[in-house]
Amino acid sequence: MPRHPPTEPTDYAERETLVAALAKEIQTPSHIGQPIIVEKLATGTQSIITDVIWDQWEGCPRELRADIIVDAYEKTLGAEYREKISLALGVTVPEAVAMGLLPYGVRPARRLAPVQPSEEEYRRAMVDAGASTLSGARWPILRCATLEDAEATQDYLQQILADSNWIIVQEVDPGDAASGQ
Amino acid sequence: MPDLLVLGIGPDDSIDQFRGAAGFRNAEAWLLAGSGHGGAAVYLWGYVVEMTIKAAWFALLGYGDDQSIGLGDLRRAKEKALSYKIVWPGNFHDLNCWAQLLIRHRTFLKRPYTVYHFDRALLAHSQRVYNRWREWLRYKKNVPYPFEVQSVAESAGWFLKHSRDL
Repeated sequence: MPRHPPTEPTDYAERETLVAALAKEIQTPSHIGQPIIVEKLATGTQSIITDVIWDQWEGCPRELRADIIVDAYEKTLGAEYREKISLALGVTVPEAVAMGLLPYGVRPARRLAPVQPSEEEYRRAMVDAGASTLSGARWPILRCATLEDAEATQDYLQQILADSNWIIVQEVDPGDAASGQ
Repeated sequence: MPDLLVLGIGPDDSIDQFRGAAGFRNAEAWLLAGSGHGGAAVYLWGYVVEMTIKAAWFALLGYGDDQSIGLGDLRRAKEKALSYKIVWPGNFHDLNCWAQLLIRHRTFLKRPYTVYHFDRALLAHSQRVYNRWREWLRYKKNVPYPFEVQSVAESAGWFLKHSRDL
């Protein structure tokens, strides 16, 4: 007969590192790159729904991600703010794209011009701007939650990579209404 | 003249829409069941439960009654379920998954049900309905037994009675 001994709660060696990095980002948000933190107000109770989109979640058990997020909020904004969070979601960029949380993409628009950056330079610039390489695709995934973020990312890329061209694309969610059918 | 049935209805839902629709569909289901159309009644009662439990989820998160609920919100629920190791293979109609999600997330928020064994009752009623209901029933010619209609009616009634306690 199988034996099922009691199991220890899951833990993750990088937990404190992630809490500290996320707390720093909550305290002083970067304009470009990851993590992308999207907070939404639940208007009934003024609670906070927060999505933390971050490739650093890769390898971190899903069941720990919410704890890490609320710990980071508490560390930065205090216990009272933590209590206001009714849903904390930690997902990687590819997971967020699949969920439709990052509808805007910034992509290279390479031209047949005599002087232009190489494919590798484009790629490096995208990663520098926070693109995800988790999918292993030829081009990293550079996505944003809002059009404003996408425009800021586009400006940033044009600044750091001379003679480069970028376009913003919006992915239209094919999903139906919230009822699911 | 009021709007025709589908005109003026936006793509998004809300707690208010879910609860209001659940009440209407429940009344219609009773009419159908009373006139010998048990299959159609079960079909509607399944949605009554689904809408009631979804409304409870978003109320737990603190959504306002008229706050828009979109597809992204539903996907968040499913992703959250995954973090609780709730296996949710299908679409957003899985009543058992919604029930488990509510219970687990209440524990996370340190707001468990105060009534003894309420969580068990929630799981039992959601399972009882989901054992007899799928949204694709509309494509099938199956006809339920009277005892099936009765049990789905009872459980849908339980959900409506406790819609604010879920």
